[in-house]
Amino acid sequence: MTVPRLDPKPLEPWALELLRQEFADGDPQTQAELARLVAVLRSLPEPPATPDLAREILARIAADGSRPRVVYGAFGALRRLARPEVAGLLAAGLAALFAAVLAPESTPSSLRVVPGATDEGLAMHARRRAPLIRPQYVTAALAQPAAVVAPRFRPERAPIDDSIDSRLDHQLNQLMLDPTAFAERLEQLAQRDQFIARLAARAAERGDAAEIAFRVRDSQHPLARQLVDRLLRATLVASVSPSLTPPR
Amino acid sequence: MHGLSAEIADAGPVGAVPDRIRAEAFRPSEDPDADLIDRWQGGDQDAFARLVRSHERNVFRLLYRMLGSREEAEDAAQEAFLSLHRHGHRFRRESRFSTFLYRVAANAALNRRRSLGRARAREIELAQRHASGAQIHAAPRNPEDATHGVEIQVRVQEALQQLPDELRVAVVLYDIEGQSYKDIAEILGIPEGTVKSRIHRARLGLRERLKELVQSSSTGDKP
Repeated sequence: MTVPRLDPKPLEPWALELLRQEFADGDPQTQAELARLVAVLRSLPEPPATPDLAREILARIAADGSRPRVVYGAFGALRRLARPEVAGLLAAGLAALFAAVLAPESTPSSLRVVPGATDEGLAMHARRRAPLIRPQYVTAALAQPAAVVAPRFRPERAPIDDSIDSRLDHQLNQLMLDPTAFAERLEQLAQRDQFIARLAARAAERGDAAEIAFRVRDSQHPLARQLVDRLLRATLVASVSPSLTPPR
Repeated sequence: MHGLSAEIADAGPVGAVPDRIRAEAFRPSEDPDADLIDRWQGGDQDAFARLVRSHERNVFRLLYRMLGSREEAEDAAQEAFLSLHRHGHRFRRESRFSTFLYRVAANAALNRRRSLGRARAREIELAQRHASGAQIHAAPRNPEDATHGVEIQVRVQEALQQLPDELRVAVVLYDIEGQSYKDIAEILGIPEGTVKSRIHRARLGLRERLKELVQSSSTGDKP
């Protein structure tokens, strides 16, 4: 228990030294004022408190103890997971899991466009879930009747991928699936010409610009014609000299 | 991180304890609360209740001087003991229990002040002045008579509230609570030299804010 010090006494040596450093002559008036201030502080009476504060504290603790400890439990679990040995094991396990999931042979069959499949629900599911419809699958699908390829264009976001080429591939796939719908979507694009140029350049890089142009030319949409034109020009330039691939 | 510094890191955001503070070994047997802590950490809730009863006044007093309001101090005291109850297993007895508890309480006060904000602090200040039922006496008075008066308390409390948190907690712990430099250094996680410097700066700030009081007092003291 702290015993109040009521005795007014001179300032401590360190306080006098600090004062001397601050006020070159030590300033006796300041010393006296500070000593008086310290005496006042040390003689302050006990502040008024609720007499049964301890009981209130214990009641609150008891109430807290009766509550579900979900949050505390969660934090406790997180703290345990953050231990180096546990975190190391967890990281190794996650790495193994990702490696297994990302292996090519483990690609779920639902993400592939199966030639001859007639289940529309399955095809729609595949389009939604597939991060990228790979060109070879699209080509295979185009060789089949329209049962697999949905006739209606469903705008969908490009998959989250840090590669620009992957995004362009995705858009080219969308173009091949439904050229008219793709062209309609292009109408709303602000920098349409630059985008078409980049698409054509990417198609030329992949080597299937002519094939895509062949598919797109069936569309009567005005922008489809522009697309065909850019794709064919890109094909021509790439065939003359690979080094002159049109800039994106 | 080991020892007290780990406990302090658990208890709050203030910086790590310098090595020279940590190096001074503390013997758990020196702690007057050692027996109660043994029992509490062994699961005896009655022992914890006794710890609360024996330390609640000290914690409340510190919080009252830090926050300037009885209600806020009581709420903060409840939070401090609640925090102690939840995280008491982290107390590894490398300092006295009372020092550790002051640390928890100081953090509770600082957290509460941050959450209160200036507007709320001002409301509390005005309510406190109103509750005192007294106008602040502008004329010089003899502090020997007035120290225990409501006006002096209110003025000192107001002056304390105007100090920055880090200065206020240092001067409250030393000049009002009577803690040693070493204990304050452990509580705040700063070197003893910094403790002294903060106390000094706090006193200078209080002297400026209580000029009328201390000037008249010092004048009156002269023969």
